[in-house]
Amino acid sequence: MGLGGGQYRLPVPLWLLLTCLQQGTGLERISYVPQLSSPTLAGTLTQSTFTLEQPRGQFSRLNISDLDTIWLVVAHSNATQNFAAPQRVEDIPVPADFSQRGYYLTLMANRLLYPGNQPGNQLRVLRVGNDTRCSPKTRGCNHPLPGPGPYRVKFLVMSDRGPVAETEWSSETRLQQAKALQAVPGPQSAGTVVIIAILSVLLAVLFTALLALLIYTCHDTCRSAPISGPEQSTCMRRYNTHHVTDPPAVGAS
Amino acid sequence: MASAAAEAEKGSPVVVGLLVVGNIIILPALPRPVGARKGNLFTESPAAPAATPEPAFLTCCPVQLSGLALFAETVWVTADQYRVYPLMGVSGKDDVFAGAWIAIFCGFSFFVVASFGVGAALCCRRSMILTYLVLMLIVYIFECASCITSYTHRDYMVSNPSLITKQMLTFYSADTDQGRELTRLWDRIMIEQECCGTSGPMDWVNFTSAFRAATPEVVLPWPPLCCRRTGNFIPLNEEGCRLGHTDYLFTKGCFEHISHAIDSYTWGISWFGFAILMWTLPVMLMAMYFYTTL
Repeated sequence: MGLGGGQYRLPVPLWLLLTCLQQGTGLERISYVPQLSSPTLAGTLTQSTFTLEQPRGQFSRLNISDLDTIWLVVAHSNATQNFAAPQRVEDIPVPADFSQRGYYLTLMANRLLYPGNQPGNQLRVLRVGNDTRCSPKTRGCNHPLPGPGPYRVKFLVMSDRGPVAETEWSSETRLQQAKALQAVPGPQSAGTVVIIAILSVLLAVLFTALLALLIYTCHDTCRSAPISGPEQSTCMRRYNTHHVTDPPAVGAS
Repeated sequence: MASAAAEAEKGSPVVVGLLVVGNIIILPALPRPVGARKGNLFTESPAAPAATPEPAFLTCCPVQLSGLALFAETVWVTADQYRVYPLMGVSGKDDVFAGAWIAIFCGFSFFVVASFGVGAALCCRRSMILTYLVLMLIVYIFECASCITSYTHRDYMVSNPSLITKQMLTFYSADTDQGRELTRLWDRIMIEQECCGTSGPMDWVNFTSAFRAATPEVVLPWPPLCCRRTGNFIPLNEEGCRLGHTDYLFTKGCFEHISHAIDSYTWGISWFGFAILMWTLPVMLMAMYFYTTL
């Protein structure tokens, strides 16, 4: 029984440790999935930014105070399992840590910026990657995203004591990748074929007709002697001269 | 319609009449010796009865009228009311306009040669008719070339948007002479037609461009002239334009306008020229027949 007693006593500090640990990781889960903004916005997805709907009214719980900061966690899709909410403000990763850790926190806000009432005609979105003026080593800098992704985001509420609540992970977001445009010249339309075909035919007809005409003329003048009949001579020349009494042979030449 | 002297000649008066009407128009510029009938300019004896019935109504589109109309219409094309010439000039091939220039000279030549043809028909001389036929054939060949050139180049440029898009992406905001010229053209088109890009603003996002190299995407994914502006040329909402909301950004593409402009020019050169050539063929065949009867 000594062993049993020993065994019994040993887990007590372990149990205490477990409780403490559990309290530390006792993040409340908010069942909200961050959404991309409506696709009617042309700039929802670009090469280095994307636009999210604001999480309006999602943080109206009792254990979240107005002073708690709400961060946006931007993570690579395959780094979501490695994500551990930072316990202190100093541990919050900056955008420059993204390449090694796979995630960073940005867009610091508080509950008052995401009120629950619907504004109606105002467009409220969050653009991730909007800020080029801050340095990526600054905490909370909304630096443009470094690659095409895919990315997943969620919101994390932190107080002085540590993380308080978090939302669900969003679905995968892939950014646009700019390609160089390959210019393909347009195909020939039916009109080109019609014009070329018909005009070729017409030209061919004219050529042959003119050729036939010239051959006919040659035949006419070479083969047949100019028979001077009275009808022919009046067709070839019209003499308004005083040679009307000349024989027609002269007039026909 | 033809002069009374034609009656005494061998050439069939019907054919002469048809030829004359086929070639002539109401020539307001030429003085009328006797005000007998409109178009009857070569009449020497106005009191003579018309030897032929009026087949003029069968040939109501004479070659001279066609030639002048072609001349006037291609002058309009060359004037480039839509001012899209730089699109073709930058690419190095401006065959649509080359076709227009050839058609200007062809139209005027048709007019001149057809006038000569009227005289040839009335004089009933074989040599004149032959000259007329050869000259008309030469002008015919050039006009065919104009039609085909113009239409083929139009197909190359605007049968699908990719060539225009490639040009826009390469030259818009580029710092070369061609770049500046094309930037001015696109700016003007985007402002006047309230459009952005060739197929839409996503052209600037989906493809690399000279504009992207100059302006980072975070600042503005598309050119600032794509934003809707007030009457004072101030953007309505810069953030909204950057996000791409349709109230603050032009989402229509400019390709429709450009292809409409180039199509208008091409239809005026190619199809109009084609119609004139279709009409000229029977006139020339009739002249050849007339030649054989002389």
